[in-house]
Amino acid sequence: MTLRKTAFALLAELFILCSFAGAFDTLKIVATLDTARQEIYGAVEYRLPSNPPLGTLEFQLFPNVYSSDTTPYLRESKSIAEYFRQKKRFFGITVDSLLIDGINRTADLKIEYTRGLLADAGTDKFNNRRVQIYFRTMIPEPGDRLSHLRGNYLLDGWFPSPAIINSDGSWYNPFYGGFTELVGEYYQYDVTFRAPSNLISVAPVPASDSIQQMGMTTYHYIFGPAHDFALILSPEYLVDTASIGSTTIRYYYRGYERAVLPSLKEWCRKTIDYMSDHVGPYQYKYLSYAFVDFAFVGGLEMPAMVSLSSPRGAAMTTDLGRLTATHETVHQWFYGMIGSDQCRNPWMDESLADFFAEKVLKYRQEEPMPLWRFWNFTFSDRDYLRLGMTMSGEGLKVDAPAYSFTNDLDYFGTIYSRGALAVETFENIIGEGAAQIFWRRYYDKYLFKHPDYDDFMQTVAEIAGDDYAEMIKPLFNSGDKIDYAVSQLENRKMDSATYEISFVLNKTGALKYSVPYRIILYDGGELDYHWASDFASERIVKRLPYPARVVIVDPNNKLPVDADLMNNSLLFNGDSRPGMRLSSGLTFLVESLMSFLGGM
Amino acid sequence: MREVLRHFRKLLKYKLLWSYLFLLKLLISFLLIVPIFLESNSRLAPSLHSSPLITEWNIGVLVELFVNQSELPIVYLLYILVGAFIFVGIMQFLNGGLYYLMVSGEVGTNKWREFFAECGANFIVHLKITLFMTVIYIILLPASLFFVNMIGVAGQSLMGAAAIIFMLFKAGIIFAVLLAASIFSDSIRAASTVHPGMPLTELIKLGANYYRPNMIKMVGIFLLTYMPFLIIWGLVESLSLGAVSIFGGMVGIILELSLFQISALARTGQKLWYLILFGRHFKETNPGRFLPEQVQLNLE
Repeated sequence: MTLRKTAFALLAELFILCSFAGAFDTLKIVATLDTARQEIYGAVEYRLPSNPPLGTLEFQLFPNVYSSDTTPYLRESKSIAEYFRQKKRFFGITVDSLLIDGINRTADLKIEYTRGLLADAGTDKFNNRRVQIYFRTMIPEPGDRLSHLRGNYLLDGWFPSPAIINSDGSWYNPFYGGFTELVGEYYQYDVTFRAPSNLISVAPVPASDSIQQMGMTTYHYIFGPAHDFALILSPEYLVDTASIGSTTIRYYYRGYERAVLPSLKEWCRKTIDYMSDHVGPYQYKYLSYAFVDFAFVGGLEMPAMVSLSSPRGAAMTTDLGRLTATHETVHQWFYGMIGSDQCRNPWMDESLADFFAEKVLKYRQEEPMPLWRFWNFTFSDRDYLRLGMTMSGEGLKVDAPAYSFTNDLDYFGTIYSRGALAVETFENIIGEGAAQIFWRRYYDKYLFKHPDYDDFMQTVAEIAGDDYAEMIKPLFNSGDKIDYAVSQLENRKMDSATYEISFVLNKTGALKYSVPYRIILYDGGELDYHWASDFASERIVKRLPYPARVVIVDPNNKLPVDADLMNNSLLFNGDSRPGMRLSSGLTFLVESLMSFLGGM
Repeated sequence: MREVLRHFRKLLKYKLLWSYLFLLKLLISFLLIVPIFLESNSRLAPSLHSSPLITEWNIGVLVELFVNQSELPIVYLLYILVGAFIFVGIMQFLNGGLYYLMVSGEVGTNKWREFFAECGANFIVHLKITLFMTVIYIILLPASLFFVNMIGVAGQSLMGAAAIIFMLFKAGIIFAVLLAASIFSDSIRAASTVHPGMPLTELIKLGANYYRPNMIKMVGIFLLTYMPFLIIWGLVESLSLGAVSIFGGMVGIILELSLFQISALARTGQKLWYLILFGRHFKETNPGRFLPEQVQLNLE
């Protein structure tokens, strides 16, 4: 390389690094956890950017989602809302004072639900101004992402955070309706947090220093770039550590959760290895897992942290716990490092997390690992996704905002299950090789950024071409169910050496995909064809030396989003054995029920 | 223990009754299942996707089965429950004759006229006992669940097989509570047999008088007779698993169905075996109308 070329490359790198570093502002937080009052009080400080021009100032007050049982958020979290209603206690965040460049502007502040708004900048714009927000957050008991229970604290969304600046200088303040999760820009966090010394504090990184004084410990954390900063505190935590590459993994658990650790460690390692190999490397130095007491069973993703509900009930006897741990670990990529909007495009992290979780679970396995296998009963991760998709309502789009859903079945069935199957269908359509390039490109392009639906499709077009991008759009932006079916199979003997095989292929939904189909003849021969599926149905007629035993549309299950897999194949002579076995089992079940009720 | 085993021979003397009761259960089950078979088979038979069901209880196939008819499982469940309640109704008719034979200890092929006469005469009272016991079960079930939930805290840290065993232990507690209640039900039914025509409140008192001192013994007898059934049930489940995986296809399915029926037959036999022992013991304590005539004469 010549000197000129080297100098040019160095300058270019320096330019890229500078713009990269400049993209992240520092968010300074100083706060104290008051366990007597179950409150956090403190201040958030940040400097607004020099452009685009900012005529107003907005910030987010997430804890206000718990401010009454009629908030859009709690309307869809019915059990928590009901508990608060019974206890007649609601929670939220109070802004004690708002200072702009040291001048108190609290009187001009308007608070609407989770939106803090200062409309008037005075004579000048808000650009380059220093914002200081003094706040007090009441911590709900119990709750979901911000809660405390029996002296254990889960603190997420606990401080006022800046709203997101659009390119035209307007603000995007996410609407926290039902099923929404926190949305934020990427920042460097400089957090000073005071908590009682008996509490073990779990943060995305270890404290750079800590001072113990009068029964209180002050921790100092430097972390970023990240779009959130969460803390988990418990007096009961034990800690175990492991290393995966250059990442230190920390596991926080209570004594009675120790038995889960080997499985958690194994799946954490598998997930990190898989995601690093197939998407991109994990960027943080630490990743912490902590068992917490939620008001629900599942897990919660936070940058460089995963919280998992304590393994009780179903999670112990099935492998759902393993699925949850894998799903939340995948979120470190799709949410943590590639920060999509969890309010407007929840599928861009949840569908991808479920999709990759299934890939991790069946990676290098001959058969998909069952989530539940007892005696002769099997229930796989795939069954779990299909059950979820089946139970969700009709006409719902994968690319719908979280707040547009009104019940759990629709939200989880559409965004998690159908979304994961749609992503798998997309991957199958563009092919394994293109898919590998796609995920790497998507990661490189949007690392520590917030891609949206258009960005995703643009990357698809970039890797697979515009036609493919157009083809896969109905998987995400159409509420129509996608179903391919085969019907009306007939075999007609034409002469001693020829049979006319006739059947109808049907299609429901807007997907324009040349779907493969297979004819299996009575001599065992298999013939593969493609159907362009330009029309809703088409009669296919073939002349072959043997009659058809079975016709299968999409024989390799390339379209897992297909709403009904039972009609994908048609046997010329039906097989009653599955029906008979089912009936045999049901007969015994009914006999047992009768013995129980009738005593005989 | 020896007494329990000795009375197993007596069960064989009731082999016709045993067979008929089993066949009744089987017949009603079949009648309930046939429409379900016809409906599900029309979806399962033409599809290759249903084939895993031949060798395993694949939940995924069941999910696809109901994919476009999500209301069907609920309809089936309600349908089966209604059928089961009809069976319970029929059993209340048969209980009259059944408890008569078990308490009186009468054995013989010419007893059918007496059997059905007792069935007809005691139908109403058995129906009343069932309604009364339904209330008891409704009260006991949440009460036992409350207790189970209390001890559930102790097992919250268990994982894997230990958790399943703990779950079975919790199920065992509910079973024990319901078993104790069912023995109380047997006591009232036996009382109605030895004192026909007695009002229900009196029968409950009589039943309770018998139940209080004998409950533990009867639970023990029930469990002793239940153990062989449990072993048969476990064996049947294991063998049926082997049958479908080793033989496969229709042979495996027929073998499995036959094995299931052996288990169902064993369950009917278990209850009869227990009732023989229970009836004999009840008659010893409360002979009522079965008091031998010469003893009555002696008393006079």
